[in-house]
Amino acid sequence: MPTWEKVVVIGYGNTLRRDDGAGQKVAEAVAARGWENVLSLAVHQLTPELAAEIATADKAIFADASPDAKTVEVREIADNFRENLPFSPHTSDPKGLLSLTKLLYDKNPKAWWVLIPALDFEFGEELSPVTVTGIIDAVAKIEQLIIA
Amino acid sequence: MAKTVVIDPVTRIEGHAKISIYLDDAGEVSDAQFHVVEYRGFEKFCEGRPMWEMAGITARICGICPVSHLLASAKTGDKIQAVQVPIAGEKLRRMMNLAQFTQSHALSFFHLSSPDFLLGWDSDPATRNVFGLMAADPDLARAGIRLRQFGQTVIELLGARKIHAAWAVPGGVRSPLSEEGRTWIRERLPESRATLDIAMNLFKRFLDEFGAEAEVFGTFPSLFMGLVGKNGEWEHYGGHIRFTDSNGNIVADGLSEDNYRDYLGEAVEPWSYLKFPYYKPMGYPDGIYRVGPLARVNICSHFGTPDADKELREFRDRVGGVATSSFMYHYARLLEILACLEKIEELVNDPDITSKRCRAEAGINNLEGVGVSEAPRGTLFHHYQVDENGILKKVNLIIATGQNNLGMNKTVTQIAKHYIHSNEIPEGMLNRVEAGIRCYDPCLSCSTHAAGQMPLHVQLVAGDGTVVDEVYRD
Repeated sequence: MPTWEKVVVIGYGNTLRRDDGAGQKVAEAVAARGWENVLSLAVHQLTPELAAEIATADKAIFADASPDAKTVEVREIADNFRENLPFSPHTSDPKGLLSLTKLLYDKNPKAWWVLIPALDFEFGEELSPVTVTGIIDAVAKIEQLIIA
Repeated sequence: MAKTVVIDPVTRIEGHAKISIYLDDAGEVSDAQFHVVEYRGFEKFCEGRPMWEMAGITARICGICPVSHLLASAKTGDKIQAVQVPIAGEKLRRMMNLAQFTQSHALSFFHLSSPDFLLGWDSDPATRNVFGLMAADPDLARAGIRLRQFGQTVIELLGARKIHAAWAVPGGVRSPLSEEGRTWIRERLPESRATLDIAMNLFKRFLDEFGAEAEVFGTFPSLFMGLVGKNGEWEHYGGHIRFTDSNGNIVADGLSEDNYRDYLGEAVEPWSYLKFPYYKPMGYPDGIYRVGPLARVNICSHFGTPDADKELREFRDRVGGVATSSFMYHYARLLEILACLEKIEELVNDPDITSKRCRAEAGINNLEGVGVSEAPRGTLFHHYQVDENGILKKVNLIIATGQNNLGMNKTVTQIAKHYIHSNEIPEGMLNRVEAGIRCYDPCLSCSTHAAGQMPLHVQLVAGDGTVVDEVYRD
């Protein structure tokens, strides 16, 4: 039996836009660990049906590329509900998805946003060195969140 | 003093776009332009890659309709390898495309557009979104999610992943449907049908109430293009290209994708990165045509499934034969979901669907190939040129959203002309312009999601470039 609660990890981004794919890389690395009770999803965009997966979890962890982050940042999403945010797969963020989860399924898991440094968003699949390092660091930090 | 109204970006469509509305000295709308400011660099990006990678690469262009590129790419590969796909392979590809239509149309209807129907175009834009929809009808919102999940899961059962499944390959598909998958689909079909029935009734009620206003949403004569089967029936994967006009007359039929350059021209405008395809024999811009659900429903003789055909007859009774209002894209989307669910039900009971003889293998036998498939948003062409080793030398993709570019511009212009008669910009007009664009469910994906997010920005610019008024929508 795992010692941790059920966790959903969602890494998102465009893997054809270089560093923008960092979130998906993180999610794939977490899935490869095979941790019990952890569902790790690599997705292109945050779409509404992900709310149904989040509703089954005690913890939700989002991994995303960030042009503003200098190092891997872990932000707790404490106030994760707002009802006046336009929802679009291209403009949604974890708060929007968590709001959907609360409204539709009355579930409010603990949530974090893990931001990976990203520099290059041009067409391609290669990652910047800082993003490669950030992915490794992000997976380690996500492991800490899972077992905490 | 001439003025320009800029709406940037349009919310709840895939990608980013901007709309400029030009006013003349009398404050009347003279023209409108739907700009696409993201550059699609995928064609160049793909050159130099092995042809076999194209299915997987192009499927990653967008997270909403990856299967469309997957199938168009696989069909292009079929041509280059000069193979005949086994019957099981074709049926499995068809099933995945039907599931793709279902999930994509469900997202468009339930989560992007139904707030307009349920909450009204004059409602506060801060709540005229999926959150407002949930507050108004949470059961419908959950059912919409379940319907989209159904389509996504069928794709996953076939391709092992919900999106970006490099499962359809030149020559067929990698694997058949499992018996467990067949059972799951059978069990979930009735619920999906029930959800569709609710949505259909909801939309018809809306149409009864607001149908007259919907006439402003892009009602104009144009050609319609899409695939039809050998008997003129609705088609999404095979068949041939047909053009019809606004009176339902067949303009051209039996066209092959191989010769698309003979009948499709691609114009370029300096204010948009998106090309402007047109029907070549009629020239640009007179050769305007629309693709997607509305076009497919207009050009076909019938669906070939009982319930969808019954609904198609009612649809044609309501619109008077041929639907020329782009607002009817929504209605057509629901008809197509119904047809897809019926056809999935047929296929799931077909013994071929679990056959392991689903792929033909071959090398490079042609140095050029064109593949075509219907994407949820319209007809999608892939055209590759390769060398003897299958390395891509040239790639051309003609996407559905591009083919509706002229139609979207015409729709925006019509809506703006109807609602703007002074320097005042009524909030309801902005809602309607956005809703007009959403009729086409355009996909402008290729943008990064991490950068470039902006609030809605409406700008009034005088002829001399002076900003005389601005409105922001957070």
